[in-house]
Amino acid sequence: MDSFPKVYGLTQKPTFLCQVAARQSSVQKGSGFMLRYTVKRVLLALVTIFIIAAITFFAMNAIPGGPFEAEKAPDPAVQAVLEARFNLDKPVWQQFFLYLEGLLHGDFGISLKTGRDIFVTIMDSFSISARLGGMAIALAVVGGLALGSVAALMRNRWPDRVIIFTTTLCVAVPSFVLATLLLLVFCLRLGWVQVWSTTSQSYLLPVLSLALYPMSYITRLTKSSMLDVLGQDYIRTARAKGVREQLVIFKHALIPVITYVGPMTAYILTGSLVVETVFTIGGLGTQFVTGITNRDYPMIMGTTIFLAVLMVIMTLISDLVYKLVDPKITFD
Amino acid sequence: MHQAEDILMETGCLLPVYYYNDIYMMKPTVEGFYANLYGTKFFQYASNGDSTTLHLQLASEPDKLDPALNSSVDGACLAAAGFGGLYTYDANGQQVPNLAESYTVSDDGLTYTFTMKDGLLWSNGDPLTAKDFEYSWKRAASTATAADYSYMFNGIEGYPDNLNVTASEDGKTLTVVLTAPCAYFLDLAAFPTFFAVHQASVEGAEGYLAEDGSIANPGAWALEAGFVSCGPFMLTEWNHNESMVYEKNPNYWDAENVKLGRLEFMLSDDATAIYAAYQAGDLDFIDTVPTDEIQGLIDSENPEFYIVDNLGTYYVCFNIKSPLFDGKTVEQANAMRKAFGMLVDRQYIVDTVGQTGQEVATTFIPAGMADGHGGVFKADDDAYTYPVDGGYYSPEVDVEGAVELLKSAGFEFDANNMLSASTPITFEYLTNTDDGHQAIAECIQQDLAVVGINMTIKSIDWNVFLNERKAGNYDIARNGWLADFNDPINMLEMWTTDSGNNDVQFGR
Repeated sequence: MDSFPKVYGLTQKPTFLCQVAARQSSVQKGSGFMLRYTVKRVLLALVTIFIIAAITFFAMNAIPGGPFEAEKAPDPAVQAVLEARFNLDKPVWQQFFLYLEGLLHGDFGISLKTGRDIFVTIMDSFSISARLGGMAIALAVVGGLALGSVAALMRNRWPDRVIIFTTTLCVAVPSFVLATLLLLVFCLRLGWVQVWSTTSQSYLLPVLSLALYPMSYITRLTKSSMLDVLGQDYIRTARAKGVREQLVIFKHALIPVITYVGPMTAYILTGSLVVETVFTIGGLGTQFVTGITNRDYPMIMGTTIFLAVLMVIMTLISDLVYKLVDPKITFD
Repeated sequence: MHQAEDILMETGCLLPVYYYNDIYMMKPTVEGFYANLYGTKFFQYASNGDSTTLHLQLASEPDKLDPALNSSVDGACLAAAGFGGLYTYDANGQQVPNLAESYTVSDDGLTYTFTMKDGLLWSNGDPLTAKDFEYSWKRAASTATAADYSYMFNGIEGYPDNLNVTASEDGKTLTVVLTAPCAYFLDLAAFPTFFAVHQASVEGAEGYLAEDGSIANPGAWALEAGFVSCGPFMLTEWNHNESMVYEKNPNYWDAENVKLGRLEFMLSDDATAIYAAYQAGDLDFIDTVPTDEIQGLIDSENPEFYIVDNLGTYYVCFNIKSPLFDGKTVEQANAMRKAFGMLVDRQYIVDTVGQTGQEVATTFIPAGMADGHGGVFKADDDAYTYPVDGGYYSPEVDVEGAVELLKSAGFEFDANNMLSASTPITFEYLTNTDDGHQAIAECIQQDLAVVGINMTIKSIDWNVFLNERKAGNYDIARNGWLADFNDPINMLEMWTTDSGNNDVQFGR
């Protein structure tokens, strides 16, 4: 596991996905434009996903090493049957079209390693990751907005300093260190939580491990954008007009947070290898990485397409919410 | 066999480093547990103090639970818990009858007839007879099933698709005809690939056949908990990548001697989390111990820490087609490789990297392997004497000897036994990315540098590594072999020209 410490950390995002989606933000104004905009975005998303699928398919086939390599080599006859069974004996382009044909029938194939259905595996592990991730996101957003607002409003006083110090620390500590630390402190030193059990799997520590980084990030984002907003002319105008100042500030400070939360949600919901490994959770994060190390082609495709779809949906939602929060923003 | 090993080792292509062993930790309350030489762990007669539940960790999520398709050591342990063969191992490592009652073998050693126990049942209550074994063996050996370990059947007549295995009409006996006498056939009868599987379950599973009638997913029946078993336990709950629960199988023939009601497995390979769970009392048995803790556990003589021998060898293999040997005669190339082997300080590697008191390897066939006649193969006596100190290499480093051999291969040295600049030796050591393998490579690198040999190390991704090594795209590479059964042939037949494990590229 040492070889992939931060592969799935929040720090390394294929931002091109967000950029592709962002570039698609153009639609004419008018009645029902929201609907038309959404439809257009969905169509573009399908193209995006197809391109991602194609790139992934050809890239993974270009990596050396195959799924049936083992320290003890199987009989060549066995290897040949296995390759034929999974169409690996055909040219790569033909494999790609066979794969797409399966996809159109809703067939993601079976794992080359375990034989389990890919769609079932992804859905099972996603339900776990989503439950954990949902709690973590709620904690990160609520906690981050609250702490960020406090820090901004009490700038340079001690609560601000404490908050900024703590959040800087949490952003700096890698997740594998944080998760292991939580495990050692709460499970071994304090003995409050079981490390592992078949019955009462506790979500407390994994949720904390997942939430601390984005919560700290949102705190800092909220603080800086609030401070930014506080200095704007329109705040002075609002104040002069007697509009409820706090609401205006909060609404404006939300905008950068929303753009961050969209893609972050997609990432947290799809799990984290580190957190899942340390706390023995059968989430989706592990599937991404073991899929690649095993050269489990259908698993690599399934998880990548799943992430791409989720990413596109989340970006779209965050763009729409963005618009609702700030009518000044147009999609042109 | 000794002659075969002599020929193999004369080439110097295999540089033995140490013989494998296995470590685990177990709470003092656990009794009746044992492991065999191949790393298979048996829990059917284990007990855990007053508790009828055992919490344990073997590895992360198993690949396949169908015993015929399994090729991993942890999978073999799960197969031994959930299924059974005609024979099995007792606590002393001896083959004892399991689902069979007894066997007879013909005078020419070619025909084995196994008599089944009476009244055997599958976990669902179906009768289990010799016919189930006939089906299971033919299925596991067949090309259509494509099991990784199908070659284990290659000593049976008609392999792979017309296996000469016949159950009697009443299902009481199973007759097997071999192509040659086989001293280790009972080992095979106790090997997971030879375990019984339930035909109706296998063939009735959704997704078993493809539209064209070929087998699409032979293990489809054992992908979730609740499948039909015949071993001491049966899988009742499986949370993938988290946990598995095995419960006692009341239909197992020896159920009255199975003391545990439940086995609860933690599916993890994260050493920190596993060790923390063991220390916190959430686990009673762990098969993964953090490397950093091992020395401390040995030094403090911790009674919960166990080291057992395994039948296997960690070694380094040379690619005979490497440019390193270009322009050399066969004798010179052999001399070069043997010289490298004489320079390696094996004890240092065991002490600093292996760290679990492994025995230094001076031969390829592991110490402790049986000779097929009731004795131990590696016996240095009047009947057979090894060339050097009971092996092919002295456990001590022999710089002088190595330099002599290299001189005979045309290399020049100065007065300080340093390789002359006019005849340099430079090559690359290939390993997969792993701290332990990397550390061993560095030890060897330093040992060879003593006489001025320049060895660089290249670490690559596991799958790529296997591919490169198999294809012979390397100079020298790390290697290892854990025996499948207790006979030297298992270590020798892999070096035939066409073998998929002939990484040295002999005869190619």
